[in-house]
Amino acid sequence: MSDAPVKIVVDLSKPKGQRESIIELTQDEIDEREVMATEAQAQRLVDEQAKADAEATRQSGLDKLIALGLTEAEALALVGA
Amino acid sequence: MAYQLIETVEVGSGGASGISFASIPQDGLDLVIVMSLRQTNSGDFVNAGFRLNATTRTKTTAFRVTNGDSVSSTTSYLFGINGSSTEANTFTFSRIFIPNYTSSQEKPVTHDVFGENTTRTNQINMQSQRFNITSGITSFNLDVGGTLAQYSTASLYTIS
Repeated sequence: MSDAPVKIVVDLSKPKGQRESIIELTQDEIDEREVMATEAQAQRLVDEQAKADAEATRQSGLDKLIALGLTEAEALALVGA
Repeated sequence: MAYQLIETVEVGSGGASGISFASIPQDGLDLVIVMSLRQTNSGDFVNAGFRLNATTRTKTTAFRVTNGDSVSSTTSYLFGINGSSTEANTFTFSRIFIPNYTSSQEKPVTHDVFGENTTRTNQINMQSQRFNITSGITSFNLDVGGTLAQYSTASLYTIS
């Protein structure tokens, strides 16, 4: 048996009980998985940067409110804990 | 509104790198895919993605909320599935909803993903996007970066 990755294909045009088959991925599909992995990694970096930016903005706002004389508790109440 | 279960598939002991539903019946109003997924590869949440009519490419920018942070994304068909670094026997829940899936209009799609990871960070991921597909949805493909674990399931429903 080959070690090639397989996928489960369910052909809904067939009667129940005869729909499922397990077939090896084509080279194109394997290539597509690699593209998807690259995109996923890029998306993860975008998400992490967006999260870091949002946190930096929040902290900056918090610091400015405290500098205006609010207590930390008051500032947190305004910006959300 | 009535859900009709069209088919459920469960991954066997050999695992699989994807699940495909082909020749989806065109007699429903809305389409729902519900999945319970885990991968055998190491990592907290391992990459996965889905395709409609074999495409991910022709769609508009999506809105995505991940653990409370919102971003615009052009790759929101991607999501994470519990990997082997998460607690044993913990599966990610995923639900994809496609209203009016047989129409000739572009297809709005919503996708909710919930993944539990008791040792580190849980995952809550909600996405909405519009696939630029102007024909009926006839196929659905789930592709994963690694290998789906045994007992992962995918169920396809139509709503009429």
